[in-house]
Amino acid sequence: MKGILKKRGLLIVAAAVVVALISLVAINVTGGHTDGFSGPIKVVTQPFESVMTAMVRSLERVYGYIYEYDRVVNENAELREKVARLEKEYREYSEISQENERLRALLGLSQRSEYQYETAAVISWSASTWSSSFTIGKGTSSGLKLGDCVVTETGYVVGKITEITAANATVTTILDSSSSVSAAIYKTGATAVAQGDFELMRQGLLALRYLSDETDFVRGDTIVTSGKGGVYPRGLVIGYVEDVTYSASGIDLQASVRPAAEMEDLLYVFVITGFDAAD
Amino acid sequence: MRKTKLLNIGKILLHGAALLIVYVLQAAMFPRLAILGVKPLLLPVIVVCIAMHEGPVRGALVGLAAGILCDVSLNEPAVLFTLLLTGVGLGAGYLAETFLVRGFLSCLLTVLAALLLCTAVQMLQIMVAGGIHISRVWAPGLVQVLYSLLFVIPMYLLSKLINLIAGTQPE
Repeated sequence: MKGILKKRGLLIVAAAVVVALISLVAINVTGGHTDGFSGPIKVVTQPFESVMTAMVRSLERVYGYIYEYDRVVNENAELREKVARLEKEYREYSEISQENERLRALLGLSQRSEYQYETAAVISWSASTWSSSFTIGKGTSSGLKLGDCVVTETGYVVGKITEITAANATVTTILDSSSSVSAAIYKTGATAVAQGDFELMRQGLLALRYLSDETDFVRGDTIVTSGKGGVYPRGLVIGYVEDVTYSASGIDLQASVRPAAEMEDLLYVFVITGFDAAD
Repeated sequence: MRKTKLLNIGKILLHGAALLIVYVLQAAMFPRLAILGVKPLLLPVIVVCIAMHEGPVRGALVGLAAGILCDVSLNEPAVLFTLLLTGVGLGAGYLAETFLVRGFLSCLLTVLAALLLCTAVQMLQIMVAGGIHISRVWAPGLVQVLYSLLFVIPMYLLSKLINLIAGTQPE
């Protein structure tokens, strides 16, 4: 046994070290891209993950039919009410928009530019307790790049691309403790920073920090991106204030924010591949 | 001779299939079944279960493959688990051959040690990288170890089943 361990055991450890070194070099050389090592593995495992994810979602749907009927009925009633209210708001918005166009034409101002989007399917979520990220089925071959901002179909902020290969990319969500987004309170325009927090992440929340003492906000207020930093365009909805507290030191005002994007239910996301920094 | 070779190939294929199934469960199913926001680590469990039956060399090889898959499923850019699980497979196999009596209790204790090691490394990583104090990470760490420990029974049985199908002779 000892002979075998001496001969082949050392060989295996040496092989593991070589694999580790090669991949570390590959990661460093590509500056966060993972083409060198995990890319090919993901290409092999991606179909299995997709099938499994689809199966899990089907089971969740069956569970939903059986146990969540009453909740769905109530939600449906609420949504009907909301649709009626939104239709009224839309009519008002259309009138304002037309007026806005006329005034812009009068003043000779250009129209607000649109974002360039790329749609991508969510392949799998990270299995880690310690981070919040997922893999999407598009990468550099579809025009995506590191740092691109990811949103839902309704424009709610999800996160940004932190790793990329030719065929897929890793999106780190705004809940992750490494995430930091320059934010603003929609109602007042007061700026702050929406940061991922390890404890809040497990409750599906993030923290709003660096607020001034005079900041006026209450539960339910909308938090949007401020556009500073150039990663996220201005005015995208991050979430809604859940609770207003003070930091552990008792000095700094902070808030917990529930993301507007329902992270767990994401099937597709939109990657903003280009936008006017002035937006 | 030829039969032994075929059984060995069969066993390698079965171990590969077991790893793939556990990987898919860890990567696609259990992220949606978190308890208190904590997801289980399944690959270290299967590595120990196989290594306990197969010895250090094959245990280390299974650990190497599982480690690569683990790094992919955890979206880890570093190769932390590739090294860690190779060591876990090697160590578990060595302990089973020298100090421990092969059985469920030994397997459970070795899995517990492996999970504590893996979780401690993950905790250390987030404490260093994120500047987070230990008081904020020990509770989820403990939940992760306990949640993962639940899977020892099915995985122990799975590795026993593979041995039953493809023979018990290690190496």
